[in-house]
Amino acid sequence: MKNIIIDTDTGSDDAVALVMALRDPSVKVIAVTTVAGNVGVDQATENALIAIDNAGSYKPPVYKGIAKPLVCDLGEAAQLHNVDEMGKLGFGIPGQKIVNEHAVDALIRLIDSGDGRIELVTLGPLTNIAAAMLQAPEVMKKIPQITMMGGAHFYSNPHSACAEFNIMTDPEAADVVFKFGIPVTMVTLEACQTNNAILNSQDIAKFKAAGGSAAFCVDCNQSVINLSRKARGHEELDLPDAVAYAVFSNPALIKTTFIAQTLIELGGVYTRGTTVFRLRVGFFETAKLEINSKIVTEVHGNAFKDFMYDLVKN
Amino acid sequence: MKKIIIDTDTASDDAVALVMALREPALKVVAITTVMGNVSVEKATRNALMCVEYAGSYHPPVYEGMAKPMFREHHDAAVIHGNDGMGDLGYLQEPTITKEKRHAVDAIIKLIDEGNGDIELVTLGPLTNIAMAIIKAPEVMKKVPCITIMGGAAFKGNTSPLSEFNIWQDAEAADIMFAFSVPVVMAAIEACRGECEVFADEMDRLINSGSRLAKFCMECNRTVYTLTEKDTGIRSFTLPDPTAIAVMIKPEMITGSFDSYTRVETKGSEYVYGTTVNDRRTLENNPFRASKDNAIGKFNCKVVYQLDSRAYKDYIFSLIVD
Repeated sequence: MKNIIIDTDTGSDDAVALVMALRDPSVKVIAVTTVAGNVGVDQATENALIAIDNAGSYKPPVYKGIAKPLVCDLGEAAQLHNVDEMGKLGFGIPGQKIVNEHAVDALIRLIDSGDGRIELVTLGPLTNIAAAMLQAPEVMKKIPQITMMGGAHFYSNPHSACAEFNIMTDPEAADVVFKFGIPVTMVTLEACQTNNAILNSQDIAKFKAAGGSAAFCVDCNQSVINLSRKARGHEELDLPDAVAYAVFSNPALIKTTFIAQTLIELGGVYTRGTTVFRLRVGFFETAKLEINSKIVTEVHGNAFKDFMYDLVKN
Repeated sequence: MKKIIIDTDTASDDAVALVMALREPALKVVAITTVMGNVSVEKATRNALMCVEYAGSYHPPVYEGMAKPMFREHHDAAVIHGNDGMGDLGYLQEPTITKEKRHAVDAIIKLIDEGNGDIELVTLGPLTNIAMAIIKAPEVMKKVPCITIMGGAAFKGNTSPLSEFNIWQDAEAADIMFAFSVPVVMAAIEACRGECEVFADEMDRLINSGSRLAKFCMECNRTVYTLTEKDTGIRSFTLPDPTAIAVMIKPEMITGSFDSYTRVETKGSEYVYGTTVNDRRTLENNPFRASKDNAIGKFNCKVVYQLDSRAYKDYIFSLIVD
C-alpha cells in the first residue's frame, strides 16, 4: 500500500482524481492539502470536501493551504474553469470539517514523521509544496518522488500561448520544486488531450448511467462539458488531474515519455511559466545537463478510461 | 514572374537556396542583401557573390548589410558550416564580381520604394537588415506584400530547446518584423528534417553527375554532413534555407502548416530567448484561454513545418544541375 498526500486546487478534474485515489485499493491518502489555483483556496477546500463525500470511501484529513502564488497575483484563474463552485451544482454541504492546521505545516509534519516513503501527488499550482521546501528542506528531502499534473510543450497550451495553467499560475513555486532535487514525474496537459484520453459523449453517458461516484465524476464537470458543447458543438471532457493520478497509480498506462532537465521560465514576456525541456547541452550553452524529471506526453487513452471507470463505479 | 529580394547570411544551405532562386524561371531576384549570422557579414557577402557566379544565370546586385545583431553580440556557426561558411573546401573559385557600395538596409528601402508593391522579401538569415529597414522607413516597408522567412521553430528549436538559430541570433529584430503589419510565411526548422534530409546516395549521385554546379551545391555542405555523420553515423544533411524558396514557389508541397499569431521572446532566460511563440488559438476554439491574451486569433503568420519530401528534393535537384 502506497501512502500519499494529495495537494489540490480542487476544481472539477481534481475532484475526479480525488475520488479515484480514495477508492484505489493500492493507495492510502493520508492527507489532502488545498491551494489556490483553479479557484480560490476556500472554494478549493470546500470542493475537496465535497469530492471526499462523494467518493464514498474513507475521509482523510483536509488542510487548507496558501491563498495566492508565491510572488505574483492569482490572476484570472477562476475564469478558466469558469464555475467549479460545486456547492452550487447541488452536491450539498460537506459533511466533514477541515483540520485546524496550515497545509504547509501539515505537509512538513507528516513527511517528518513518516518513513520516507510518503509520495506527493500534486494537482494544482506548486505553492504549498514550494513553501514547505523553503521552510523545511531537510524534511522535504525525505519525499522519494513527486507525481505532478502540470506543464506541457510550449506549442500545446489552451490557457496561454506557451504555458500550462498549473505552472503558469505560480512559476516561482514550480521553479523551487524542479530545482529541489526530488525526482518529478510530470504528466503534461497533452497527455490528457491525445490518444483518446478525452472522454467523448459515449464515455460521459456511461459514467452518468453508472450512478454514484461515477456519475459524480462527470456531473461535477458539467460546466466544462457545457463549455465544450458550446465551443466545439459536441460534449467532451478532458481530465488532466485524473490522468496524472492514473499514471501515478498505474505507470503501465504511460504510452510516451522522456527524461529531461525541466526548467521553469520566470522572466519571459510570452514564455513566463513555460516548462522548458532541456535534452542536451546546446552549442552555445555552458551549463551541464541535470536531468530532474520524467515527462509523460501520452497515455493509453482507452486503458486510462477503463482504469478510471473500474475505480469509481459502485 | 515574382520579384524578390533575398536577404542572406550566406553559408552552405543559403548557397543552395541562392542558386535555386537564381535559376528558378518563375523568379526574378532583384537584389541580394547580406547579413551576419552563420558567418560574418564580410564572409556572407563573399559567399553570396560566389554563388551568383556559380549559378551561371544572371547577376543581381549584392549589397552588404548589418555586421552585428541589433542589441547583442554575434555568434557564428563556423562549427556547422566551416570557417568560411562553405565547407572549408579550399578549392572554391573566389568571386570576380564585387558588392555594391550602398548599405543593404538602404538598398532594401530604395528598391521597395521604387517598386509597385510587388517585390517580396525572402530571408535566409537573422532579420537584422529587415528590422532596420522597418525602423528607418516603415511607410515604405508597408509596400512589401509578404515576407517568406527560413527561421523559427514550430515544436523544437535547434539552438536552444525552443529557439532556432536565425531567430535566436537576433530575436529583437525578428520580433520587430512579426509585430510589423506585413504577413509572414515562416518555413520553420522542422520543415527540412526527416525524409527531407539529403542522404548519401543522393549526394553521391549529384556529386558524380558531371554538373559543376551540383557538385558545388553538395560539397559546400561538407562540414555539415561530416558533423551529422559523426553525430548519428549516417552521412546526410538538412537544407533549411531552400525550404523558403520551395514554400514560396511550390506551396503545393506543403504537407504541414498552421496559421498563428507569432511573436518572438526577447526577454527571460537564455533558454527561451528567440523562441517563436506561435499562438494558434482562436476565440472560437479556445474557451479556456486566459482573458489577458487579447491578441489571439489575429493571425500574422503561416507556420510551415512539413513538406512533401520527395517533391522537395526533386525540386532542389532539378534547379541545381547545370
